[in-house]
Amino acid sequence: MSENLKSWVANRIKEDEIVKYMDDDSDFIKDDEIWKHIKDDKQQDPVRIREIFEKALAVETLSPEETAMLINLKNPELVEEMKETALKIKLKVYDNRIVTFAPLYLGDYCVNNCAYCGFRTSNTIMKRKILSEDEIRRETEVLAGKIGHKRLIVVYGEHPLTGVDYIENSLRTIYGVKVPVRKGFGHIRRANVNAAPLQIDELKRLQEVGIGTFQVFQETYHHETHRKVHPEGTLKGDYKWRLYCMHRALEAGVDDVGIGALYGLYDWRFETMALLYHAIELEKKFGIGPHTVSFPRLEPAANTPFTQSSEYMVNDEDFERIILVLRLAIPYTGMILTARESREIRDKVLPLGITQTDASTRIGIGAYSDRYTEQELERQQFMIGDPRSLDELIRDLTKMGYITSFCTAGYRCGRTGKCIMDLLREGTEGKYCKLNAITTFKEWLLDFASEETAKIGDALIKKELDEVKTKMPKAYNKLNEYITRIENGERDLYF
Amino acid sequence: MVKETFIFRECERYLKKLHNRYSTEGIWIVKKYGRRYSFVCGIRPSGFESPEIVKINDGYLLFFQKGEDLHDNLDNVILKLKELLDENRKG
Repeated sequence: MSENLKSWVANRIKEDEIVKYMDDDSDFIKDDEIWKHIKDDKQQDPVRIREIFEKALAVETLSPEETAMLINLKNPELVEEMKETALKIKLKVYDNRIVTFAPLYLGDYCVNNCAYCGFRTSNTIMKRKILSEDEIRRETEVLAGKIGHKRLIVVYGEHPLTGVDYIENSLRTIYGVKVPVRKGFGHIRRANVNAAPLQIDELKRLQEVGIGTFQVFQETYHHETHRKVHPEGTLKGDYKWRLYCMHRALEAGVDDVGIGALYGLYDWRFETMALLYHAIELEKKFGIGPHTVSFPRLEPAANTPFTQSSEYMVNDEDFERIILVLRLAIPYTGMILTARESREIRDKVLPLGITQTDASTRIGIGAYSDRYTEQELERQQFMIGDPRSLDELIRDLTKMGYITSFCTAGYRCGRTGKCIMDLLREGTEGKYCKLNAITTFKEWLLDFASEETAKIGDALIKKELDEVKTKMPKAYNKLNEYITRIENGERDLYF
Repeated sequence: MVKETFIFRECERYLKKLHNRYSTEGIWIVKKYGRRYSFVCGIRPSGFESPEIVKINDGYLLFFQKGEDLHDNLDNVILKLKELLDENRKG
């Protein structure tokens, strides 16, 4: 590592931006306490379990004890009821819409050396690249102008070349792209960021440029495992710097934050409990829980044997349980299922409470505008499992009764942070979700859909309009007006 | 931070009064960051009409749904909110 790089690394972590949030000498992830909850396998009284279901249905965050009971739930009849409850919660909080997005990887340079990651600094077979401003523009033109995405999760490695200056400039570039399409224009309306932990002043800069959600995954919350997979002396090796980055984001005013764990590094039951602990901590300190929770499973990566040998790989049955438990434990949160998973798994677990997913996904650096179409492991962090295009995914979702949403309304009219949390809990946001799903879906059908998808999409919109007429008569006229205006070429109308 | 919280509480109290007086379906202040409008304080929206948006100062905007009569007194309302938020800026 060069002297410049060493010096950059040495100045990243600000101890005072960790310690100020700590209640005592230890952080809020209490490993022993979590294991005690999991192992304290109480007799599963159906009455008590159903009380927990009711609590979750009232959109109240569950306690660790209650969550552990759901993790350990064995009674098949109650497990079925848990699935029904998960779907009810999803419909109450978010209605039947699924928000779609695309990941956009801007660089694969990284100073860290994580055992499970293809981007790790010691992985010499990786073809390293960082996109220039022109290349970012070209990627965005494809995403917004050809595929029709409105929402991105922009992904950055931890490296001075992709530090806060680069992040800030790239967001400006992305937001600046506007591409003529069939009837309207394509542009990115919300750019979420998945990056390394940042300092408070840096987060304020991202707030100024209009960041969507700030997402950082702890990867593993288990202290000892964290030490094992993130070498000492690396930035990512500092557990607390990473753990408290959402505290810093919320203090900086970035009031939509996304948390996550990489399943497969440690026991799934522990990670699921720890995600709940993280949500409870944020609720307690800021009155705002996570806007989204992610639960990716470890996938093969180039020259990374760890991804094949971990003893904690999560099977499909346990993966289902993870989703179910999270849906009930943190009922207000958005839940992201990505194209890492196969089509079969995605179709199977969607009804368990998923709210967001990606499509037409490419995770190679520059892969959207580049000529190559096959996955190349040396150019990407891991392998993706579901290569469906956005058009195909939308068609499949429509057949399953879901309306695809490109809504980005919330953060453009102040429904963020505590406000959106309360609206989600009381079920009001779900109504906005439904209406904005219909308007944005209509836009997409007009501007991007294949003939086949447009046909079944329009049929779904008709059905949704009828539902709104019955269930939300006050909103119906306005919605109809918006649909007519959209058909006449107007765009970006929202509730 | 403490000062800011105090000011926003004052704003919220004032917005509650406006909400009751003008029967709004929501009246809230947002801070504008690029494309992002972050909620600051107020009565969260409950209706489906597009909210009216009025600039308070360079960073802050007032959103309100319904409450038609509020227009008659809007200049005074904005002036009052501006005063409260300027207090905040002075720190």
